[in-house]
Parts: sequence; structure tokens; C-alpha cells
Amino acid sequence: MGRLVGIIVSFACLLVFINPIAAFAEHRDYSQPEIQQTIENAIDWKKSTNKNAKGNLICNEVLDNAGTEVSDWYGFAVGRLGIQDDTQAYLEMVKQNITKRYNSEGKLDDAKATEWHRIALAVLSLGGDPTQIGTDSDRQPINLIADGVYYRGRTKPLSEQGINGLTWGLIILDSMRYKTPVDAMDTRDTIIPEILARQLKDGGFSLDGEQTDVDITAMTIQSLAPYYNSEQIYTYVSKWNNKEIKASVRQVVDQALECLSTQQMPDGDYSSWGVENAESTCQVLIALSALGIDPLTDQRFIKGENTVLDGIMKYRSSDGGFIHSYTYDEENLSAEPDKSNSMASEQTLRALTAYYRYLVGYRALYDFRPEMTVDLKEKIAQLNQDIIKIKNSGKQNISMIESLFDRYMEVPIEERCYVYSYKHLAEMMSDANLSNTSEYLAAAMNITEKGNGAVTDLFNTGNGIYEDYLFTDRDYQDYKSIPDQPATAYYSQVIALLGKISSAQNAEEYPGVKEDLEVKKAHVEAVLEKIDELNELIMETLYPFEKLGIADKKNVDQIVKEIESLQDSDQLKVLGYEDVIRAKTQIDSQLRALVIGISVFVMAIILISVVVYRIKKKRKERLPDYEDDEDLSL
Amino acid sequence: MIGFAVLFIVIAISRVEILSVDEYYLTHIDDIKKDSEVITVSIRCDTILNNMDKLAPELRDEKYVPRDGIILEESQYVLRSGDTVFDILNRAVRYNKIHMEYQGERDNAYGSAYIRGINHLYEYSCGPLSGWMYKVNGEFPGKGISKYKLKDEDKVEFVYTCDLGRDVGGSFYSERN
Repeated sequence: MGRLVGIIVSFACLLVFINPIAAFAEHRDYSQPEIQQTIENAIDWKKSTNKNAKGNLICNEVLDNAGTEVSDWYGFAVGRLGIQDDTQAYLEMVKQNITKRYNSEGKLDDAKATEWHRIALAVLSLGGDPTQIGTDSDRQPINLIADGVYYRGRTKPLSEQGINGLTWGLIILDSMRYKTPVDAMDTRDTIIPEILARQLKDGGFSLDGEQTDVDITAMTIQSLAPYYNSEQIYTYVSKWNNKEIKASVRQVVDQALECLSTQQMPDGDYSSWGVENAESTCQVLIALSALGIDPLTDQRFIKGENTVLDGIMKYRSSDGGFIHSYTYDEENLSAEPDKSNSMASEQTLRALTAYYRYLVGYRALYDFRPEMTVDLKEKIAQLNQDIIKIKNSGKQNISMIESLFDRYMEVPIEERCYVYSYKHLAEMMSDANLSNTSEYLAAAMNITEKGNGAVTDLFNTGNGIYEDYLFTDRDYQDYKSIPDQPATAYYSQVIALLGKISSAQNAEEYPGVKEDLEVKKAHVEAVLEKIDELNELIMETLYPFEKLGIADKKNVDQIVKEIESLQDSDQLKVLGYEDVIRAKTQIDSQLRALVIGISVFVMAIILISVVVYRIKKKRKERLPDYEDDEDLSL
Repeated sequence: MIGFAVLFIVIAISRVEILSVDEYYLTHIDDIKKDSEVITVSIRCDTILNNMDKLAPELRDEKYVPRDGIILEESQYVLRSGDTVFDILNRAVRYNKIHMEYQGERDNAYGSAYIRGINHLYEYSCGPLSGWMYKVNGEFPGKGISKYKLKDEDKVEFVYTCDLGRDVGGSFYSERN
């Protein structure tokens, strides 16, 4: 999503030069420990890029951007791996961020429903509940699922930003199998056919509705994956040829997979917008993992020997991070061909986590329900194996197939998407003319209303459970380091500590800390508000400079005074401070000119008066002589 | 004598400046002189005029989309040393009181400032393929707006696209097809 959001405004242009030392993929059958190691190295790389990481990935720099695409996917990765980190701090920061944004008219965004979706995914991943996080302007809890998906249509269509709004809306709706209410503007029954209708001639999907894009195609498959086993036939009008089509999700997804298979490059990787890159390849791996397709064995996704995993590892950098592309990509603003890149590393983390979850038998990347029981997992795994075994034996008979189908029907409807080889069973049944009575899956998705996302300790480190949260001595030291009247730079630290102390079980061991942090938070928020006001005032009153005159002096002096009352680091946050100084200088010089002018004028008057007076006096002195003369003459 | 008085008053009011060198430099930094290095900037959204049906209803107003599609006509600004496209845009919109919202360099995944909206027109405001793009001397540089350093007499155009750049002469798409 991030990458494509970027593409639109990111000033399109072609790649210009090709790095001569472009790496090549080398095939390996990556083992589970190797995948784990790669993930851990990428996490360490991210930590190394943050100055104040203190052993955590979630540090001030990451917290500052909580609720935006810069940080949310890292928060998501931490939660999805179940590694110990400052997760409470992140949730608290997200809460503050959305509460603040809900005060504006467009709330999280005017056009992009995906803002709600991405944040909800991060919240679920970290064990939070996106149906009640933060408060809106009426002091009601915010429900990201309602506002961002099923009631989104009340303000803007879910598809306002194109297909992304639909696919991510569906992903988040299914993340906990959320119930849609009777007055919903969008439901699974409206969203799915809208997505299917956007399939292109070659089976792919795209933002522009014309040329297939790998990222969009892969993300679309991810959103449709939970319906792959559904026998429901959807009727829709295809957008590209306006023809009515009747198809199941499986038919559509199979065509999309075929399209992705042909688009795969010899190294196993993918390209988007003409540039071979890590992110597109990552999205494909997430899609394959969601469908339970083994990238190491499925021939559709192996080119030469190279798999999608080889395609991703090609972009691994020696520092543990991942680069975006070996070709210089003019349309990804910062990605350099030889440097680990934040977006590429973040998407790789997501992709390898998705694949790891598939390997170990955990729920899919975007399925946040508690794990199935071991018993059920084993049943499903056994059924998957048996379907393949019987299909490959070529000796299947009707009773064998019927028995497999009975076992499939014993799997609870909401878990049938995990019977990855069901497709082969359905085909055997159809070949044998057996009627398929399995229920439609979309109808079985209406399960949850609210609740926290389930967190699993993926690497069995034993400390990944976020529930027993303790406020530590180190947290206390952090708290002590905050001054009484903190500058705004302390904001994320204050919020983070507030989040920790609020959820800590041992909060009573630190009396007064929470109250004091509330005071500090209020102080910083007041300063932030003041800065906003100043920015607005400057914008309104300072321009154009030519029109500024002595009449504006009072106002400009007041602005200067208020800026100077801020702490140094906060003064820099006032936009156009330089312009304020310039305005002040301009006005002061005018005033000075006026004062000097008036003084010169007054002095001139005095001078003239003196001269005139003296002339008159001189005349007066001479006058009596005349008078005398006159007298004489008379 | 009255003549003298009038002369003084005129002098006093006619913005005589009595400044130190630094102050003079500060208040005249944007004055265009014979030897000034200059950048031409314009901001246009005329593509929206042909796509009014796609435009978000609350933006269908001359305030946001001027009748001629010109938000800022070609204007010259002095090039200060080290100026990027972002710096020039930032000055141009401030001096003309045009609304702009952006993300700072440190606040986004691209490591370059990112323009969210100009004159209340945002990405996706006019359909799923819409957003702001910029050209320098007629070409799309495809570089972060705060990474592109300008030189004397560069011509910077901000254009709103409703079709992924194809409606504003985006070279990228045509070459790919």
C-alpha cells in the first residue's frame, strides 16, 4: 500500500541508469531457522537506524510517527512476530494520534480509507482493539472498523482512492471476522464483487484499470484468499469490457496467480513500473502464503531454480536491511541502489513473517483471531496431506473422495480457508460428478464485534506475551529525565510512559507518576497548540511583505514575543520564523525612518524658526534707525 | 518655507530606509535585480476542469479550482543558494497566502518532503489517479521535492494530474507502454 500511495504523487519518471554491480539471485532452499535469522537481522538493522533505540525497535523516532505509514508497518511487524518491545507505548501513541486527527473534518483522511485500515492492522497486531481506541469529538470511543469499512460510505465511497480502499477494507474486515451491521454501507457481499469487477484481461489488477501491476495484483489476492474455498458464484460487470461475468473467487484468483506466474523474473523477483524491486516480490510472497502455496515447490513460481524467496533474498544487504532495487528507481524518492531502505525492509519483514507463519502453521498474516486448537490444526494438516496424496495417486474412487469431503465438512466453516488443498478435492468431486454441498464462506465470516488482536510468540522466546505489563526501573529513570516543563520533543516519551504506567500491573509501586505525566502531557499539548496558532497567525498576517507597515508593528512584536517565550527547540517548529524576523526588521526600519524623518522635520522647523527669528530680530535692530531717519525727515 | 515642510514630510513617509547592511540584506533578499538568479514558479490544476465529475463535491468551488485552473500564475522568485524545489514552492505559497500541507523530510518513508495538498486539493481529490506532480524545465525529475536543487532560470511547474500524469505530459507512462 505504502509504495503505491507513493507512486501516484511520486513524480513519475523512468529509471535512468543501471547500477553496474547489480546482484543476482542465487538459489537456496531456505530453512526455517534461516528465515528466522533473516527476520531478526532486519529488526536489528531497523534498530540500528534509530539513535535512541535502547534495545527496542519502538523508540521515540518510531513513536513520533505512530499512526502514519512510516511507523505503522514496523509496529505491525513487531506485534506479528510477538517480540518483546515497547508495544504499550505504541498503542498509546496511536490512541493520541487518532484522537487528535478525529477533530478535523476528514478525520484520519479525506480520501484514503486505507488510513483506517493500516492503523487498525497495527493496533490488532500489537494486541489492541481497533473497535475502541481513542475518542472522537463527542467523546465517544473511535471504531476504526466501522468508520473505515462498513460505515465509510456515509462520508466517502470505500473505493474513493481506487481498488486499494476495497482490498484493504476487505482485509481488515476479515482480520477478526468482523460482523457487519444491518445498516452497513458496505458488506462482504458488496466489496467482493466490486473487487472482482476490476480484474483485467490478463488476470491481473491495477490502480489505473489498464495495465497490470504486480503489487496491486498480489494485494488483491491477499484480500480474496479467505474466500478461495468458497463455492459462491458472484455476478458482476467487468470494468474493462462491460460484460457480465459469473465467477467464483477461486476462478478469479487462479487467473491472477497465472498472471503473476508469467510476470516473475528469472531471478525469482518481480518488477513494478519497470523496476525490479524487493517490495513487489514481498507482496507476492504474502499472497502465496495466504493461499498456502509453497513457494519452494510450486512450479508456477519457480523460474530456472529461483523461487520468490530467492527473489527477496537478492535484495538483502550486508547490514541486515533490504534494499529497494539494484536499478536506480527515479520514482521511489529516496531508495538508493546500494543502501538498505526503510520501506523495502519493512515489507520484507512482513513477507518473511507471513511465510514463517505459513511454515510453522500459524494463522495467516492478516488473521488476528486466537490460534486454532492443536487438535484442529493437526486435523486440517492431515486432511491437506491426504487430499494431495489421493489426488497424486491417481487411484481415487468415489468413496475416498466422499470421505475426504466429509472430513472437510467437519472443519468449522470459518476455518475452511486453511484447508489449502481443498481446490484439488473440489476438482476431484467435479470430475466424479459428485455434488458439492459446502456452504458459502462469506456468510460465515460475520463473527466478531470487538476484542483484542491475538499475539503469538512466533519464535518461542517465552516473553512475547503483552498482557502482564510491568513499569520498570528503567522506565522510571526515563520518567525522571523529563523536565518539569518539557519541550514538545518530549511528547512521545511522555505519551509512551503514560501508556506504560496506565497498563502496568505494578503501577501502585510508583505513586504520583501517572498524575505527573498527565500534567506534563497537558503542558506539551498546550505548547503544540500555541505553535499551531502562531503558524496560522503568521500565515494570515505577514504576507505579502510589501503591504506590511507600521500599523502591523504591534501584531508582529506580539508574535516575536510569543515565539521567544518558547523553548529554543520549539522555536524552530514555528514555520516561517525567518519571515517574522524579516517583517520585524522591515517594520522597525520604516518606523526608524519615520522617527528620523519627523525629527529632521522638527529640527528643520526649529532651524527655520531660529533663522527667521534672527532675521526678524536683526531687522528689528535696524528698524529704529529708519524710524529715526523718518522722524528726521518728518 | 511650506515647500521645505512638504518635502520633509514626503521624505519621511516615502519609506526611506535607514538600515545596517545585514538588515538591508534580510529585507531585500527576494528583490529581483539585474544580476539576481531567478526561478519561475507556477501552480496549475486545469486538468480538473475536464474532470469536474470526479472532483470531491466540497471542492467544486472557484476558491479551490479557479475558472482558468491557475492557482499561481508564472511568477519569479529569487534563487537563494542551496534552494530546493520545496524551498521555492514553500516561499511562493506563503508569499501568496496559498494553502499548502506537507510532510517534513523526517516524517515520511521517502526521506524527502512530501506535498499532501495545495489550495485544499489533495491526492485522490479528483479520482483515484489524481495528485500533485512537478516539472522542472518541462521534465518530470522523479526526485524528491526537497532533494532537487535548483539553478538559475529554472522553470518549476506544479501540475495537478487526474490520470497518473498522463494528462500533464507525464513521460514515464508513455515510455512504458
